[in-house]
Amino acid sequence: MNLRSSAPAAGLVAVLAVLAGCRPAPDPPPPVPAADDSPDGPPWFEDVTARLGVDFTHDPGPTDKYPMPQIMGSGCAVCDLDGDGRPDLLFLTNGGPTAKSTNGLYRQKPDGTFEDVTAGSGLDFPGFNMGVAVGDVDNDGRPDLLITQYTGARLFLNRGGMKFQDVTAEAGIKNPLWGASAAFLDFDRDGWLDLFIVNYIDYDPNWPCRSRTGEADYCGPKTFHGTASKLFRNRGGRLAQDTAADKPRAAFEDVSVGSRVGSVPGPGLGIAVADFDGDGWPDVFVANDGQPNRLWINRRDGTFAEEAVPRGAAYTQMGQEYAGMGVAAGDADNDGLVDLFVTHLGSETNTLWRQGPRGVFKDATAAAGLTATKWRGTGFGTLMADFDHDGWVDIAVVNGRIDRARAASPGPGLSPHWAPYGERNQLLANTGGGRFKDVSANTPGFCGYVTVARGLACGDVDGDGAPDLVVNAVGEKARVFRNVARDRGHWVKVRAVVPVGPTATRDAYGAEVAVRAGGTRRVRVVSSAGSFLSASPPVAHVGLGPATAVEGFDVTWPDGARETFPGGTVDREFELRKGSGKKP
Amino acid sequence: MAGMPRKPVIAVLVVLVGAAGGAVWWYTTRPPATDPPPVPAGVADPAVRTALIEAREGVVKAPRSGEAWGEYGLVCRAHGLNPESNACFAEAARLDPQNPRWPYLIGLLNLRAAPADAVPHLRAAYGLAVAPPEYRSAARLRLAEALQERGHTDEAAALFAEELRENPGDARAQFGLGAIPAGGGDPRTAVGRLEGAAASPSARRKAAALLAAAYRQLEDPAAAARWEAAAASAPADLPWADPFVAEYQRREVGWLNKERQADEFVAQGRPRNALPILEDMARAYPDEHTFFKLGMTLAKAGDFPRAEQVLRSVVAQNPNHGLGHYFLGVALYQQGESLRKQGNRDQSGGMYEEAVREFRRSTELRPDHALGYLFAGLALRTLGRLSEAESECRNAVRVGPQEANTHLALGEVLMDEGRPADAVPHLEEAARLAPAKNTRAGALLEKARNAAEKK
Repeated sequence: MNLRSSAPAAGLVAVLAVLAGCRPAPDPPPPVPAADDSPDGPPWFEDVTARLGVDFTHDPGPTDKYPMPQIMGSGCAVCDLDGDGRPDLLFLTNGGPTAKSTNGLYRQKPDGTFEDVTAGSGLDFPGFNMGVAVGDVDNDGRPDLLITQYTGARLFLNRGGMKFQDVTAEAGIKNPLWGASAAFLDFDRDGWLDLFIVNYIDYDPNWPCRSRTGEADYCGPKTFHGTASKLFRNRGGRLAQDTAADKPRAAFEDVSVGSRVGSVPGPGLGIAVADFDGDGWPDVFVANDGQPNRLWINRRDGTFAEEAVPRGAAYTQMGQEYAGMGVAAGDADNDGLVDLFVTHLGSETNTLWRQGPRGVFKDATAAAGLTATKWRGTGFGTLMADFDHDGWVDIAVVNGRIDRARAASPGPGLSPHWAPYGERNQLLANTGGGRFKDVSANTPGFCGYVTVARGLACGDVDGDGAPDLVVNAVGEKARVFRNVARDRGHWVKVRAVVPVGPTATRDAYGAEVAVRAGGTRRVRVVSSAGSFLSASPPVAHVGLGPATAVEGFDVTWPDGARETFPGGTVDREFELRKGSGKKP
Repeated sequence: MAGMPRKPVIAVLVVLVGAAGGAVWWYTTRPPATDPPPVPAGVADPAVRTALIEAREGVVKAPRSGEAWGEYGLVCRAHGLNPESNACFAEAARLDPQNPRWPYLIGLLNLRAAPADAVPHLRAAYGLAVAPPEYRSAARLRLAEALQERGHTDEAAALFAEELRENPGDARAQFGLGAIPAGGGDPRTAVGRLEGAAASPSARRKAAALLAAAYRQLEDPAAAARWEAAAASAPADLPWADPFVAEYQRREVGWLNKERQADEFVAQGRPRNALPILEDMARAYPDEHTFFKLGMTLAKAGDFPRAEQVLRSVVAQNPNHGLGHYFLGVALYQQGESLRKQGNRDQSGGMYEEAVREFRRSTELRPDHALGYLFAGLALRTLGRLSEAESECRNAVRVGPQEANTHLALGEVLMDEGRPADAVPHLEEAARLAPAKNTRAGALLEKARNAAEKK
């Protein structure tokens, strides 16, 4: 029997077989050349962190006990927090409550560089800070912040001038669980942003985990139980009239039980919000780590129904429940429907669930060419954006292992502790029709270094119309990558806003914006949430390829109303205000 | 030929035999191509280190033995030393080229580590694995799944079909043959195959999930709901049986291996079977965590006095051990329950009081631990401190809203407080979340509704 053949005997048989003119044993498989890392196109990004004056270093805290929150890292946010039209940056840190390090807040100056305005901002606190969500919860026209923590969540009202006030207790936000990604959405369409917090697991800090060879290492999620997500309804509408001006106008109630969101545990990490079933009400997708994903369909009566299984978004095409981490939502094939790309472990594949017909998803990873990437990493932050403005959204993924590799990959800026967890980031170019090609080798600035990256946000940091990238990595310097893609196509940025007072407006979270140009209708959802633990500007950014004019915009507002707006020239930003368009 | 002289024939034969002998001599005496990978310095578990050293010595003693190289590779693979195992398997494949194990195991690892280099090895393994049948099936099906994942569905389907011809009813092949049309927009073809796989403990959940989606596409909401419920209630699918994988799995030794054995007994509801393993571990690895697991398992096995003893030592050593305090509280609470049932109210009260202190300490340290609040609420309710019990149960609901017991306990406390109307929504939620066979919440809900109506 061929399972027990010995080498000398096999050798003799081979020799005699040759001498006897018989067919030799099959050749071993030919060696496959190493993944082709040679560039075949221009770079898309360059690291401009130092040039911009950003000097934040993430503090993961002491590494001797391998606390699990440490390896999950922290997020970051790109958002215009002071209303000057220029995106500012927030980086979270998780050194623990007694650490000397704090989060980092950077204001963009008129010359495009950044100044550290952390001290005295109200965000200058240590802790196990994980995720950030951005949204105007008090309808004053200024974006407020929610920061999730290991066993906590804190809500901050934006008081202007890059100052933030902690209103967690007064606002009724109580989340003693390990919070991960979070999102603001108006689930009850009352004009006030509600809050969805994805919770992870009931991790125990005294629970040591080890590798199979006995060394201490970080725990995996299966050691613990998943915890349930939280939904907080904004009661602002009721309180606005009788609240004094100097008091916070934010009040929430925990409706996790009544809405059913709390009835199914995680372990959740990533989130995306969109009207997936097309009924005009926002639904919520939650990526679970090693458990089936959840797709919370809004039932329009204050409750949600979990329908990921029948709608095809719970499992991969092979029926696998992979380790869902980050979520990128976007229309990969320009069919007007939002698809979902979820990052997983390096021992799995990242998965693209393509939507179609509306509300139904199919694992299209192989068909999209996404099983043929040059390497696999453990993906965390991810997003879809049209980096080269060719009219098709591309994908960025930041990577970093969660368990120690036997062979460490030393990288600049990585301490010896983190080197065995380091991996390279990836860029996947949409070659049209929702098929992707791994173009990581073209952009060594973003993909050529080894990192333990987690948070990833995207926004037009330098105001040139192209999406730039911001990364927060465990125990490393945060990085800002400027989009330098050559020969980019045309573009538009669209801010869809709803009036919230005589002069103030708020970004229309949940609105669907369709841009008609060059015979193609490209759809974006206005949302700040997504990726992993991170927040990006709620601006619809659309690459147009060669189209030189926008024919018009179609907007479905968060309350279900529809309007059309005239188009115009390209390579500029439009602001579409609810009520100022035409009814279709 | 008949007329050929014999001497030249003999001479040719002598030359041939000589050449063959020379080739064999060269083959068996040539220097080994490479040294076996060293045992990594960082291996901390002494049992693992010993196993690795012994397997490596096997290679040193027989450097031209494919089996020896493969054995060392298997021991490395069993302990997650993947680069080392792949190096060993590569050398084993060179020395033992007819053996399908080595390309199979390289391919299996490359599926994740070097995806472009996985299918050629799996294909080679399938070509070599002519027998025994379970090895041939495993090699064929793994290759089929690798091809399917990469979108080569036609070739994958052919391999699945081939397997079904040889093993009619094979659940893994049926699942693969069902998953392909399910992903390809042909739900009608998919359902028959998937239903054929859905009884397998290795496919229950995933087949049910794909069936729910397929029936939804077929606009059969009743069947979709039935399979969705089946997917939600099914335990996690077991891995497909794989004799190649089993070969390295059974070579795993060390702390983690023993812990897994103990955990499996606990998961099967047989904690007493786990105790000898944990007691052995406590001798071999006398650390805080091993003692904690021993104490926790003693509590789960119902040996509360011993659990108390072990867990007291754990929290004395580490006063910040939240779960240590929790399980100590459980051990005290259960002893209090026994004493109460025996009519010993004074002693039981003391036990409950101490249990409450331990539960509260546990939730100070672990504010995300629903059971800590829940048991504190239960103990306080028994002590008649209802407002405190209500507060703890509300915390339990906040932290563990997915647990029927948190809602049930809060409902019970509210009933005790004479507030049946307030209890109703919590009992409704408890009844909704509770497994069908648990009728306690439903019965109490009816009582609460009746009482609320009378009020």
